[in-house]
Amino acid sequence: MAAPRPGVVVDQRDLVERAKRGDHDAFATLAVDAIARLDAAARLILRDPELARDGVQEGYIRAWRTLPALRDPDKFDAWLRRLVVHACIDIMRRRRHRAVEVELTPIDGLAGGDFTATIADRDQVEAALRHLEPEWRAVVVLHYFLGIPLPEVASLLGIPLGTAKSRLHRSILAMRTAVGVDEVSATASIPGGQLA
Amino acid sequence: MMSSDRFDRRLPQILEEISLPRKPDYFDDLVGLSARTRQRPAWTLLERWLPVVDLARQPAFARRVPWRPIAVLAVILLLILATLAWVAGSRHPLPAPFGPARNGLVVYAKDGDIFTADPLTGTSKAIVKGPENDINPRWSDDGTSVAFERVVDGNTNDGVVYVARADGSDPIPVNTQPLAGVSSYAFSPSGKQILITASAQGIPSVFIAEADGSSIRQLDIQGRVTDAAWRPPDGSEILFMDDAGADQNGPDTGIYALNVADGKIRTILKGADADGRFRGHATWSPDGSRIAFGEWTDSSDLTVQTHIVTANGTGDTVLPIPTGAVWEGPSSWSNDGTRLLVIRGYSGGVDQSRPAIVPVDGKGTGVEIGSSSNTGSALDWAWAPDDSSILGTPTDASDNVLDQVMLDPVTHTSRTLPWVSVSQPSWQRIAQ
Repeated sequence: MAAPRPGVVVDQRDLVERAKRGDHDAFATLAVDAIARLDAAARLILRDPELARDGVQEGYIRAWRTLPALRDPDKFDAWLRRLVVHACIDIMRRRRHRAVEVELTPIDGLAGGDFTATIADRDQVEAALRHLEPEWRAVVVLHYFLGIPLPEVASLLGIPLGTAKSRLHRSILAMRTAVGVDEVSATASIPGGQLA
Repeated sequence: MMSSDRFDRRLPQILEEISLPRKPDYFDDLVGLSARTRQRPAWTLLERWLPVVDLARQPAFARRVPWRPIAVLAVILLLILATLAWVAGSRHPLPAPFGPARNGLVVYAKDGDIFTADPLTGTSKAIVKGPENDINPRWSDDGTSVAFERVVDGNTNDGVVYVARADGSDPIPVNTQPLAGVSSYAFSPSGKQILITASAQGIPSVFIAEADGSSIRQLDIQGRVTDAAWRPPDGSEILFMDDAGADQNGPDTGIYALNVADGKIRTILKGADADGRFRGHATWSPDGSRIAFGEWTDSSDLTVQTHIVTANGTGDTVLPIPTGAVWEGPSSWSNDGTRLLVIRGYSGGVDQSRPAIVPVDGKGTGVEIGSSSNTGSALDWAWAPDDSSILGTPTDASDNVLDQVMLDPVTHTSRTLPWVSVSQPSWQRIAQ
């Protein structure tokens, strides 16, 4: 990952300070920078574009309203991400009764041989992802898509670190099983060294 | 067949391909919606009222401890200490559960350790020290115990609340599983339980833990709970606010009380956000007969005033504010229940704010204490147990913590104290 450019940091800090003082144009500039990735994360977690829109919208409005309370402008991105994720979790909680049980058996007809970047591969993963319980899916998306270290994922979801690790491990196991990955070579490690 | 390692490596890229991050077509609607939404004034946000804590210090990992022999020794030690405590207790009666008491020590946090300070001499002493990151100490009402939060290794948002003796010895964790986002905690009037506000699945929630660490339970309260507080003098109810009104993202509006015995919730003041009125920072009077809170309307002419109602929500008294003031929020009751330390602002922010001492009967705007330049941004205050002074934790414009400040409610002057705290002020009560 490239190091942050000093000029960009200063600019964002200035934007955040202006937005804290009520400058909505500055907030709009900040909003557009982050929304693509947060919208994608919300869609991955909630698996419903309309719900994702609700989650992102709720998080952004909450951010605008409470922005004057943000003490450290340099933490704006993480703070906004936290608000959007919390909004998505709120939506998940409200819809918990619709949660889908985890499917640990391979999906018929989707197990493949060599794993290449094909549409079929993506479909397999997407189907496997859809079969995960929302709380488990959130762990996968926060860790693998947003690149959030597991301790922070646990904090975001309000669960112990051990639970986050367990959910991630079991989610990956379920997805590997669903797409027919060779489990013999499975390792217990979490990639990316993101546990610390 | 593909290996699991390869699957794990490919997963982030596949998630990108599945989600195709792009600027969503609802972005313009979102910007328009936020433009039509008013920002909340900084002072109304709970976070502004919480202490500035130094979370930068990373604690070291603790070594494995031989618990069994220690437990045996601890039991023996506890028996000895219990006997000593009984003897000592018979010589030093406890203070009354509410009302004025004699001044004891101030407890505070700095650099991850817990200190006590004598306001008379200015001397400080570390009572809990070590590599752990300990923050936000609070005295029990009887002044015999201190609660503090220990930040969990490697995760500065999770914490465990400990209860220790007044000298910092025998710290006991009251929640074995770390809680996320611990924002406040307080001893019950009996000192046997701790009320903790923390995050559960991302939602601010309330827990009651036994002070001896034997159990903890989450209260069955829907919505986002703020301002949770035991009702004095017996702790039979817990006051709380929530934002379950028309705008769940907005300010808190309703004020409620939960009966600790049966879990039933009574409404003290129902939410008024549908009428454009919002409330915040509800606090019990020392005897539990009244409640002070700030109320404001969501209009361009921001005016926040302090209201006082009885414990059942009747008899609303609005405390007057002087010309030019645009907001005033209650911060701390005097122990005799006759005065409030309020924060009064002359702009929408906290830059032109100052503490003021006002009578709770609504007769007059009280006296502002603003002569000292470093009292302006202090939002956290605590009356001395004998009401002779008021202790504050000020910060500068950049939220850097300054020396503690002491206000004199009689001479209306202020002076700085020779220690810096990163926690809310908390003063030990001693029997008179």
